Amino acid sequence: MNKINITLNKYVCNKERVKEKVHEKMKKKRHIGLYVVFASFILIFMGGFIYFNIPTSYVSVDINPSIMLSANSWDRVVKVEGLNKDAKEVISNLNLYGKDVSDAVNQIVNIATNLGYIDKNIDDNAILVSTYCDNTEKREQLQDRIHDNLNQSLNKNGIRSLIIDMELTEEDAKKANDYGVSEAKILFVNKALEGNPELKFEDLIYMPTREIAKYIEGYENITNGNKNNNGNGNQYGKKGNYQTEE
Amino acid sequence: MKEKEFNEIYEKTYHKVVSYVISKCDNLSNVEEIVEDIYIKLYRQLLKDSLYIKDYNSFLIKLAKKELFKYYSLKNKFKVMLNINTDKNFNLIDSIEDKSINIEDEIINKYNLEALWKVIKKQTLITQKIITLYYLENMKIKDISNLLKMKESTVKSILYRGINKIKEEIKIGDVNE
Repeated sequence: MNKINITLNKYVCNKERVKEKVHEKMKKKRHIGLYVVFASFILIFMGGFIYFNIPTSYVSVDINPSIMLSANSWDRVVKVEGLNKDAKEVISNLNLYGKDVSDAVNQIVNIATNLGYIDKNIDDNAILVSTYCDNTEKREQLQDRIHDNLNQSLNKNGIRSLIIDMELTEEDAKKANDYGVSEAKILFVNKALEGNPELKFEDLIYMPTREIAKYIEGYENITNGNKNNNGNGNQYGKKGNYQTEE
Repeated sequence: MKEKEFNEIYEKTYHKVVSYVISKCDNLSNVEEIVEDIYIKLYRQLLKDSLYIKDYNSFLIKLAKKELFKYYSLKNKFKVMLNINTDKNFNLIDSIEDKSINIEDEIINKYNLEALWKVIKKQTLITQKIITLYYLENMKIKDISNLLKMKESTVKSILYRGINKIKEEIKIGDVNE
């Protein structure tokens, strides 16, 4: 190889050098591509995880154990809070994260029954299910779905109980937080106080739901009526349903 | 798998691509970078399994055109093309044979590479191109004339004069040293 050829190979273009550089750059680019895909995947996953965990609706279940469920846009449970000691006992036996909120309510009721908070042998059980959501339409749909599923579950397990549906407000939430009970219970106690001015809020707030129900005007009528008719009652919320064993 | 395919295509097409880029560039120092980018684009295309390329030479020349366009503004590109097609500055020297251009000349060979490159770069662009195509790509005068769309005699003349000029400059350089 003469000197001009060597010079031109060095300063203009060299076949082997170009080939090596192309391979080297392609390897780097492939790695960069992999990093980008990996980073995108992580971002999507993290974003999805964060979005999944953003609660959009709240459901509180009150038997005596008071449990607050936070649900995401897909009605999946993202947070479970036990609002009193009994509730903590109930939720310690459950793993509700990611479950459909209406299935979660059913499971809570089943565990509460097993632990004796709901008595299969009596007729005056009461379950308060209250829902909160910015979107009224969605809240109503969620409430109906929870009510219907719970209704079926109670029937299947032969449990007689009144299901009382209620709508929560931010004011109730604040008060509930102050007393460490569910928002539904606040509503329920307020209802009981309406017909019984001699009672005090503090006297009722820590009573089991079925005991409070006795102070609510028309409650006995509902239960009796339901018992006689095997039908539904609607007194305190959208629905009030007394379940009977057929 | 793709690497093997790429290497095969590279071996088959390299000469054509480089000579095309040399013929169209306006600075020989850019040639390697442009060629590299062309083959990177080819490699990317190969990685797309669905791609079917019938004629790699044509495909790469198209890529080369795009890359060259990216490198040079339209005005410069135009200027380069005009330079390539200008024959009037050169006299016809048909009598010069390819073999008469003795590249093994002692004067050139003892010169260091960097200094030699500086001397080559001092020549006109068309001279640099012809010298590069002739010595680096081992192209025949006829093929160079076809590529640059010039008369064979003109190519010979430029090559002959270019080499002589390089020798002269080296001699002067030696005297000055």
